[in-house]
Amino acid sequence: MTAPLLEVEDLDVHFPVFRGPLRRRAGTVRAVDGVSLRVMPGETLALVGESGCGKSTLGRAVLRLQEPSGGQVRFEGQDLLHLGKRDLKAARRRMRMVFQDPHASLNPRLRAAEIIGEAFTIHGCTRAERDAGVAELLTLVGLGPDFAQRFPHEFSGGQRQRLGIARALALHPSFVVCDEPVSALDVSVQAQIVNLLMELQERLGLSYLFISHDLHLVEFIADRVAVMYLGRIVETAPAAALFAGPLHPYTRALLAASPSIDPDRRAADAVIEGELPSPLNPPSGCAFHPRCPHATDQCRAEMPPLAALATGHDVRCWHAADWMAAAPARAEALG
Amino acid sequence: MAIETATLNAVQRAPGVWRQSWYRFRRNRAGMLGLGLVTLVVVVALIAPFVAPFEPTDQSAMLRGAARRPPDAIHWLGTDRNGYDVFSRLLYGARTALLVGLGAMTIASLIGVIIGGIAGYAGGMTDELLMRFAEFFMVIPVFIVILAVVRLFGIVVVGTWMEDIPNLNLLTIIVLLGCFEWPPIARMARAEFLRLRNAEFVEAAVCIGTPRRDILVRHILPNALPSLIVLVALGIGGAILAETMVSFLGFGDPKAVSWGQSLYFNYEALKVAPWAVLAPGGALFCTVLGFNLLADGLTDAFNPRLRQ
Repeated sequence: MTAPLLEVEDLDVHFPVFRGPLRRRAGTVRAVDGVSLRVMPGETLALVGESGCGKSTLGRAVLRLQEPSGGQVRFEGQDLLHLGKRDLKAARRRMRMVFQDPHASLNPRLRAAEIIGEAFTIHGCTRAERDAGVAELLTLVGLGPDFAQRFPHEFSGGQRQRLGIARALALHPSFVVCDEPVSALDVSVQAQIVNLLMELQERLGLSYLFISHDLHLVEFIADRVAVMYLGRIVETAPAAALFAGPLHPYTRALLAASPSIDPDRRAADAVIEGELPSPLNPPSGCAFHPRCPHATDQCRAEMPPLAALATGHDVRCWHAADWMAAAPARAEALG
Repeated sequence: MAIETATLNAVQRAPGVWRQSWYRFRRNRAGMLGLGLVTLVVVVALIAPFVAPFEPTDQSAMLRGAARRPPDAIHWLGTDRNGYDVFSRLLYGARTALLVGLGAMTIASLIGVIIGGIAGYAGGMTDELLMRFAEFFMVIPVFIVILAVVRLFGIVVVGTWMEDIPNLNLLTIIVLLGCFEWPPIARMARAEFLRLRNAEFVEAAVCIGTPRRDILVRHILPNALPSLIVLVALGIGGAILAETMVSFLGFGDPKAVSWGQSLYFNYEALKVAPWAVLAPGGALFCTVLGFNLLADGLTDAFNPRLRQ
């Protein structure tokens, strides 16, 4: 078995909250709370969850755009959180991010060539290397070198996202965090960008941490899926297994809530009610129990562990084994 | 498709943010008027030595008994009570005004952008301290400080090497104005740096390993400039007005030819020789108005959304 490219262990990102005129510490928002995950070389791990569950924060913390408050991140064998300035800069050659909003993520004062070429300049390439690299990247993302001298506002949304991808791929990174890279785009353009990302992955052997809330997209692009709820991972599984037999009630509710044209998919589970609880004051026990139709006293009292039920299929639910046992029966009933 | 792109490239060479702003600015009548007035002042300041009919220090009219003469063919705007040619002093006054305005605002922008930039980017305690420091400067009455320092400094330097510096008084005023006009710029710079520090494109730059210096100079500062330029343009007018007031109170530089000085020399003779007061007064009005209109036009050009 090959070594994982990225290994996250017990990662915490906590934000202190200050209130009142004296700025007294009123509490802590646990945006990411004890998350562990692995990304293998060439693999796409999708991170799914509703807005506010901490998936973007996790993505940013992995790249140290947001300083984590605890835990470990190992990337290509290095401990990312304890790297010096110079080593971190070297590590940044290998890991990148594609941002959600292609309008906000490109500096409006710089031309396309400058935006893409910046990485080359910073990491000590010559001018000739930079120009060649920029032309190559522009072609790679399907724009072509003619676009080098344009400003971001002269591109359409999809083209801008291509530009963002080209910037992320400068100097051949091995790992890219895609933070909802298509959710700001038109549906017709979304498909193009997703295809581009998959094509690039195949050609360059990239690994993706693909953050999204679009389950259909995730099913299409991901090798493995991690479902997040209130700063914690509640279920991790290979994409096929997760979509065929989701075990955590939250995952099931998510799948039920996403419209499907496949009648077999229309799960009988009730759609979850209520709001995402405040991460400032999370519920006791299992964080999902206030919204869970199957909650028991144990759920209210104790936080379930993330337990492995099948190979690569981890679920954080006290009743996961019951669902597992019920799954074939359900499938029969439906099918 | 290829042909289309090619012609597109040939026709419009990618207008940048500055050029776009210029297109918008050009449609703003008040702004263009301001730009015209400012250009006029700059041109006058540049060509003053070549077109002024008399030296600004030429008092020979006094000897001829031609002081306080109304405008005629020789003295286009008349002479004042000291025998100076009003028109020549008007032209030379533009140089002083611009020197004061640009000098003071250069100093103010440097201090303001550095302090505001650090405060906005660093945040936290640093931000708090620097902004309280800026507020401390805002509550000091600039005018009284200038009057006191100009007078005291004028006495202190007597007998030292500094006495030989030409226009020392004027320089003092410029430096003092610069040192007291920076807080508004610092506040704006702080706000902009604070906003842009968390912009996604700055994050993207951090992500590829851009050093902090490049982030500040290449990514944040250029995007903060438009708002700052507006403040600077407004401040130039303010600085010119402030210097005029100091001079009008008789605390100006006796060796400098400034409009405020002319007003100070001649206001008592307003009824006898109104031209000697109206001419520098009008010039001052036009200059300050010009800078204010320019600043206003720039606001609209840089932030078109404010208008809607």
